Amino acid sequence: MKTFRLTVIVFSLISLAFCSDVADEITAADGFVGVGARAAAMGGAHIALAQDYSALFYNPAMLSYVYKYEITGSMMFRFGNTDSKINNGGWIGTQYSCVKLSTVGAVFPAAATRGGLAFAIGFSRFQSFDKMVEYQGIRVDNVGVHATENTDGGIGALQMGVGVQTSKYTAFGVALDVINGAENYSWSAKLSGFSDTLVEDSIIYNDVTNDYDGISGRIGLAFFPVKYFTLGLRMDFPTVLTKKQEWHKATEVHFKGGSFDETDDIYKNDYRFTLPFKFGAGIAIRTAYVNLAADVVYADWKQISYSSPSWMLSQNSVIPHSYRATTTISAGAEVTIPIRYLPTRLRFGYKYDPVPYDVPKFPTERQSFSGGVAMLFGRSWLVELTAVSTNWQRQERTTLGNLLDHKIRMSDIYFGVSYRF
Amino acid sequence: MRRAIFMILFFAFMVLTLQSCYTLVARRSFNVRRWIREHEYQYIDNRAVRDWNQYYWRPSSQFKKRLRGGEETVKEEEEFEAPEKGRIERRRAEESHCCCLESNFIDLIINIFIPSDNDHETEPADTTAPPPNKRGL
Repeated sequence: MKTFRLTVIVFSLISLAFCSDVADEITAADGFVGVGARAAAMGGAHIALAQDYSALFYNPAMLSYVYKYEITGSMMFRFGNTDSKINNGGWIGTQYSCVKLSTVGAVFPAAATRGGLAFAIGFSRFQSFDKMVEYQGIRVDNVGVHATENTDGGIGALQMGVGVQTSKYTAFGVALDVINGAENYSWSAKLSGFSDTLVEDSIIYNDVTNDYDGISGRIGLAFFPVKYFTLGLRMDFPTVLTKKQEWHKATEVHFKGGSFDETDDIYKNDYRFTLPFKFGAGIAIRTAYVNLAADVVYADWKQISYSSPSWMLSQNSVIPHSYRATTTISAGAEVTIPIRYLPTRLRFGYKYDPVPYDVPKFPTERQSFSGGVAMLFGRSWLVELTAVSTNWQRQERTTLGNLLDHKIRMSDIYFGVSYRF
Repeated sequence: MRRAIFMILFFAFMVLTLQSCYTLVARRSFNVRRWIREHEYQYIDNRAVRDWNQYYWRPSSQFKKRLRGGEETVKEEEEFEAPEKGRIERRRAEESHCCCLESNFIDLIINIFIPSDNDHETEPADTTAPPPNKRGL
């Protein structure tokens, strides 16, 4: 009976404060990465400049300016470094890395004697959840914690779309995304130092697998009044996502006498929610040696809403207080280096990319600096290499009153090859 | 989800309708010189970016191969152009594509944004809520 009472106390400490006024984090609303090495190198400023397969994602109207058949593919290598601390403890660093497919696709232009018409199909991975954080410190109730949080996976889509020039100076495009993805989250924590109880230590495991399916799409417009200037507009339709979740939660409690108690539970749930409209506008300025581009993308994440299951509908009233509207600003430059036998372009970019959550707090907003090089072989093969460095800081107060700080630094390397004929 | 698909299909339909407004797809022959003439207002012709222009601003070499009568001669193009151009203009005058927009597509668009009773018919059944605090912090 005593053991049972102590176990109840420990579990209460572990999972206290269920009644929260903060909405759950919907990871599918965050973690967007660049599609295509050129766009990634220019900070994602591609609404008015995309002229390859990536136009499917940035602005399908720009597909109509692709005049050759294109086959393209790219990989993304992520090298991450996270520093974290609990309450007033010291910083502890974690390194991780992963390799993922970024894009594979093809563009099929029609033989248009006037204007342009092109169809594109392929797969793009535009969200990445890959991250690892290690925590070590003392909770507010003086219990020691050593934990590892690991997330991997991402969301991509089978994309198809068409773009057409509708006049000498305008183009229109539409794209459909059939979304598919997965997120594998694991949390492993050892709690020790329960001075007032007979508990020696406790170990908590959480393995959460989320499988995503959904559909979305976008339309785009492009205005091409003169050869030196392009204006692009894009609207992303609301994304309807279904998340199939399997949550395996296990807890072991070791008592000072040597005995132990364990629980093991599996929860399976299907969620359905909708991500809001996104609106984007971009400009591109072209000269003989330099291309400049800048984009602004607005999304009001307060409009995220659950439609099932019924016990999640209460989250809809909390979401406006936990999420915010974001305006992502990106800018990039592309410089032509006149090397006679190896046409080369250098690219640079910057992206200000605020996180959609209003809670927890972000002392430093997310920003990316990028650079890359592109080389053209035989006027048909384009080889691209891009590096993107992303930094931000995150601070959250947990339901048990602990303060978690993270400094997140990610370096994404893109390697892409395209062939046109 | 079904509505989203309808909405996207509608816009795809619009693309195909708008396509007939300006873009002309060659059916029998393709002339590169004519293509360059039609598109030279879109790109900067400079010696420094000649190779890049070949990559981004030239038509596929496959166009000529795939189309019948793909000889690249101005004379043949002109011979072919006159009846083709006339035929397209006549079609536009006689078969205006505006009539497609007179159907119920406007109603369809409006209905897409208005929820209906059947909207949640395939929703998954409720299950047990998992514990909200997964970290134990």
